[in-house]
Amino acid sequence: MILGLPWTSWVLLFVGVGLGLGISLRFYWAHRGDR
Amino acid sequence: MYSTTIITVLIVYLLILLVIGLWGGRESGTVSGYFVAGKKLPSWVIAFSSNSTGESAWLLLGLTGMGYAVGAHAFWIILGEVLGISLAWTFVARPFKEYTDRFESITVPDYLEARFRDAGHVLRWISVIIILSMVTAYTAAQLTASGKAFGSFLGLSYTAGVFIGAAVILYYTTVGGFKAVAYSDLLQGVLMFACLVTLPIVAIPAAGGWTEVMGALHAEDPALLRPMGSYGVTLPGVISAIGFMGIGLAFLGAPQLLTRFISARDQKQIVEGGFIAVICVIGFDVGAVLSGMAGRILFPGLLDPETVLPEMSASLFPAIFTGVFLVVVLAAIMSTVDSLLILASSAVVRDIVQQVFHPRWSERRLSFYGKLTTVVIGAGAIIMALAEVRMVFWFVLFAWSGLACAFTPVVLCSLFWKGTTRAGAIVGMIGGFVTCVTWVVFFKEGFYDLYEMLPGFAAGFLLTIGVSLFTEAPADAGSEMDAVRDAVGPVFRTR
Repeated sequence: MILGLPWTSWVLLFVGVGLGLGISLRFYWAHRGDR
Repeated sequence: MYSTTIITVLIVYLLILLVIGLWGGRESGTVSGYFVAGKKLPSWVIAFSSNSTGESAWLLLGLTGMGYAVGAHAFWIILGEVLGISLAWTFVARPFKEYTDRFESITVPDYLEARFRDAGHVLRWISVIIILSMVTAYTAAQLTASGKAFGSFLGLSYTAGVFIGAAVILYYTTVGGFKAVAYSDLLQGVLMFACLVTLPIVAIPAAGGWTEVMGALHAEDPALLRPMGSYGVTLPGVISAIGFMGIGLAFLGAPQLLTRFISARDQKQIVEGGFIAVICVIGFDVGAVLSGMAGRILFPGLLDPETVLPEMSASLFPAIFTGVFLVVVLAAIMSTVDSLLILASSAVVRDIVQQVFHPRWSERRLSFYGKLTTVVIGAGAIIMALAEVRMVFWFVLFAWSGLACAFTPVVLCSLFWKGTTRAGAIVGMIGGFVTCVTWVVFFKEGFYDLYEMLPGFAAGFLLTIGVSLFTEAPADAGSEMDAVRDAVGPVFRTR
């Protein structure tokens, strides 16, 4: 338990948020100078 | 129950929508203007419009209800939606935009017909039939939610709620066209985002704080905090988790969302829009699930978990915010309905009337028929909403999955595989849709309620690929795809 929530649930939450943010940030960074 | 403050907030919101409708009207006199705002929309507008269209009343009523009913198991929905949206903007949006600009397409059937050189309009007809049947059901489900929202917040009758919601949507959609739809979606999306980020920030302390909420949930049922919920790591549990994730697959190719990419001003808007859309959906989904979990402690024993958001807004906030929450629920409904109505109208007027029967009709005449069709389809949805069952969640998911199963596998194959053929697309589209519907009707119950999107997608891909392997792709489709890839460049590398 971390802050009352099982660590597996934290992992699930952070995988969802982290993967989405990571993919879109990487994409934005690669094309930030595009027209 | 009627509060002057709530009604004032509601009237201000509805007036703003009417002004946006009038403002958008300047653009709606042509077919391209009415259906895709002349392809001039900036990143913020397409991003919020895409998300608020994809996230209907289900987000506010259904997903908060999910957080209430199943707790952390609903995190799978967050994973699926965030992944679906980030992959759609990263991989699908730019090649799709490039293709549709080259073909001068303003609808998804336009694109499919041009991509597969479908001179007989077969793909166009199939698309239109599927879009019309699903959109009417989907719109009816949203109007059902409108009736429910007015009832929960203001004590109005269900019928009055359906009519008030539909009248305002029909006004600004017909007068303002896609520009009004997209900018009202931006306003509605921002309201939804603000509401769903604020709600858990207020609700969790009101329930005693984070650890107290988690402790109380654990005391009630430890399964509420586990990723696999009450199922545990069992076959039904895995099927349920995959089904929750599958909800996000539709973002990869549902026509009402692909239209946002078509309407973007240029590729740069898509690059910026993707990041905005992902931030937005994280706020939407995390906020909704956590609110539902806190709501279970604040309001234990609700008969209908989908009423947790209205309960929270009425109890935790002053009256003016209760009005704001009513507006936000309506915003979620309206932002979906307006987009669906425009989609259905474009299917009839652009895809059939203009492209099949009357290519010489004037732009003004066609846009008039577009508006008329919007009203007729809206009226059909009102009748369905007044007659149908009032359970929002699964009704919306069925329409959502039907559209997604018909279009997404075919669109993805058409964007990434040179060998995709017209026959493959036709069979894949029909097969994906029919599998989705038959799964719900005949098989779902016997397979632990496996979400229909998964067999629908599997059938769509298998049939599109299988039939394409035995038929001939358009002669120049390969060089055309190479040219599109060259134009958009690599996904994660700077050129």
